Amino acid sequence: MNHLTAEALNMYLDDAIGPHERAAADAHLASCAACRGELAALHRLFAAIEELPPDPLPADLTAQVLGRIARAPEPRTTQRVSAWEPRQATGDKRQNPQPALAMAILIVQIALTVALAIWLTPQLVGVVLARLGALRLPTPSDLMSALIELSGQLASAGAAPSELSRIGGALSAGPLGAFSAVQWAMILAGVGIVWFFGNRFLLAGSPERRGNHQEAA
Amino acid sequence: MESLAALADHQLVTLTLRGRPDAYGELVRRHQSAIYNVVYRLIGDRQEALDLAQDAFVRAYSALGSFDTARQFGPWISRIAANTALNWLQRRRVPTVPLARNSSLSDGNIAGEADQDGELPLADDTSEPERVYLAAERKALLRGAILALPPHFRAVVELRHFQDLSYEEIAVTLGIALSDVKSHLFRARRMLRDRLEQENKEGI
Repeated sequence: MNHLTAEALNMYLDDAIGPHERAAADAHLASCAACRGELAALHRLFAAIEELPPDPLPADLTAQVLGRIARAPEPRTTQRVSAWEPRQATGDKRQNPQPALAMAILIVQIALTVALAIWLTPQLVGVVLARLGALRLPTPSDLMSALIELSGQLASAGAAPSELSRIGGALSAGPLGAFSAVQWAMILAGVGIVWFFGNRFLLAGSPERRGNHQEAA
Repeated sequence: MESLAALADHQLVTLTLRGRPDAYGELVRRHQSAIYNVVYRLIGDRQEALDLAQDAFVRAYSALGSFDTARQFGPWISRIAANTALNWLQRRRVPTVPLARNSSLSDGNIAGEADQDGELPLADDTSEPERVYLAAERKALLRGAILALPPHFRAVVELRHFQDLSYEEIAVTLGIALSDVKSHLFRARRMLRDRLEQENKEGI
């Protein structure tokens, strides 16, 4: 006769076995004093653990907790993203004075991003396309002459806008010059805005997901 | 203003989310003793348990928007408290030292422990005061034996025996495999039994 394993006895008491296994265990227990003794000993341990009396609470926590949450972010927000978290999802209908200020900062940031992109793009496009154009040359002698030309162009890039537009114009005929400088500026501004909002939403979402995993309600 | 004490937990959660921190204060008042005990059973230090119970309430407040009001608040925050205590244990990595056999004398809680006497039979010829004392000592011993378990073993004992979670729920709460839940739990019980039997032989 095979005795019940320690695992089987644990699962029996934890009510973690199916009806067929339980019936089989019951049948065995009815005829096996050793297994009944084992089960009784385990049951006494369970009872002893669960009857441990609670420790009296040494101090009331209410005031400290309320003090801390007064300084803490509101439910479902985090300190990093508190101004941006959509409040409708939390069920919090309170008026918050921060969104107007936050929106103003957002508009200024977008304007700066666009202005910076428009201002810098012609120079960046010129330099990058010039380099790519040089690398496209196949032979060492061609490469050398391209590099010499490129270094000359780079040296004059900061001081001569007309030179820059000449380079840009020349390169726009190549395969990478499908967009004008203004179009490049628009593309970069768009990418900047997407990046900006994308980061905001990613930051807003990540602590929430982490919290849910951890707390596993 | 309605009396907060008359409201159910889920109503207090809703009020809190609408900007009433005093409603959360009522939830703290109701559950603080249970939450303190979850932490105390896991770490065995009263002052740290008070601090970590506070942390658990603050964490729960931050996550309150994700709480499903169709469920019970008590078990939800108990799991947060268990995780808070377990994280603390893992950060600290303090070697667990079992309480000495006579440590109940310094436990300061003998009367409280003695109130619920009798889970294990004692000799009939024991006088009543002695019986009370031995029962208290046995409880202190068991508490010490639980605290001497490795933190993950302690956590599964807490979640299974005090929070009545199934194996699957324990696996989700602690983020461990189902097979680990079983092996931690069975080994923890084996260790507790061995320890209590050993103390028995030594003459309690």
